[in-house]
Amino acid sequence: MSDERIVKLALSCYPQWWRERYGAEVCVHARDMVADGRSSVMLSLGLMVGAARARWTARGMPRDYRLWSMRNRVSIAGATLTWLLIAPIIAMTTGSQRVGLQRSPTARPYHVPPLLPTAPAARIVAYCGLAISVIALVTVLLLIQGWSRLISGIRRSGALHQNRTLWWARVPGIAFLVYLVGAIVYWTAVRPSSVLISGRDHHITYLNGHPAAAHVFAIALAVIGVGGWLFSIVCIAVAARRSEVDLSELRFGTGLSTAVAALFALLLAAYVGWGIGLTLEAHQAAHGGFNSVTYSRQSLWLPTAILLGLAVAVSIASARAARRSWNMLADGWP
Amino acid sequence: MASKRLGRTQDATILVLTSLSGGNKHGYAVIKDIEGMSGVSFGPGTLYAVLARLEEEGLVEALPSDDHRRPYRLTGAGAKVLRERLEANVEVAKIGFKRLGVLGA
Repeated sequence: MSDERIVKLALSCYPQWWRERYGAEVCVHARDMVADGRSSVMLSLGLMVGAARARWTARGMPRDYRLWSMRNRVSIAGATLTWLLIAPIIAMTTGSQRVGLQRSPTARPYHVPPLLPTAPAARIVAYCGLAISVIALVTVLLLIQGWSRLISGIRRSGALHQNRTLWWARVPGIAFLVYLVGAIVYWTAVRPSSVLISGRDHHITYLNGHPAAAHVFAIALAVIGVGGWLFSIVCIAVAARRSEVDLSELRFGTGLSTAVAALFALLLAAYVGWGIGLTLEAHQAAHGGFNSVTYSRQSLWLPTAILLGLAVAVSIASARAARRSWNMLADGWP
Repeated sequence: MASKRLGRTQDATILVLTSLSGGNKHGYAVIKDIEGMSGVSFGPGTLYAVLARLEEEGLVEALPSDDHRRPYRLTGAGAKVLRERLEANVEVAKIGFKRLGVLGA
């Protein structure tokens, strides 16, 4: 690849407004620098870092309503959709509770008392688990409210191409309905309702339903569930970028992004507390010869907490960007 | 090595403003000037991030140009900010030198 192409590729990472303002200038200077013996690869790497910074900070972005409202919408999406991206992982690690399955090595067989629920570590786990559920519920309700405001905002705007944007925004609802219908069909018609175990070799006979179809259906449902979830996040991001909604919707969205980022930080605190509580509980159980409450994926809590911390940082930074762009919009426009 | 590390931590804003205080320059001329006066090597990514911010704050302005090598000029506000920052740096430098025993008490 030629030096110029590498530089042009790096420049293409910048936002359009930046390229329009500085692109040609930087291209000429980069050419001069390469002619002076600078490495085009190092120059391009520097430009890519600069592009990330320009996208993140939007310093020098022209005072243009279209640009700032788009930045506001994209920032709101960044603050809220990060939560949706990480929520399944949190649910995966905090779900699937198993009580008394992990026996302490010092516990006596046949008489293994559970760790008292009033023990300090057990209380930390219980309260943090409760906090995670409540925070998640409140956040989901807020996000549903935000989603419905986005749809009604797009519908009201009446701008060109808004019909297509409306469909992008509707995808999460459609994906949920498809999954729901599939799940109902699976549970009521396809999945065997019971099994009959017979003979010395414990032969299993499935009663009702269609075992082979149920297997395929279960895989398909999982694919629809995960795929639909991820596709919905992408579609909402696209809709947020393309939609042209009123200032009132943008104000609501900005407030929503701040609330979600704050709840996200609280969720992180509760999640860290939950993980520490579980570790303490395991120590107490081992020390006292008790059984402890365990979760099938609790070993993943530390990497998940780190991932969650990064997601919280992105959400807070996006909420701040949304606030800053909203302040620009609220200042009034010439 | 130590001086190079020290150079990298210098405020890019002061370097760019100081460079432009010596006359109008286009981007690459600013990079070369900064390299000459401080040994700090900027890439265009860093320089234009600083220029965009300074332009937004009204401390520098771009001048019209026939080709794509657009020169930048230090504004009155930019000169004022540069003066304030340099004065603050001089004060800190004086105290530092005094504590090191380089300057007399």
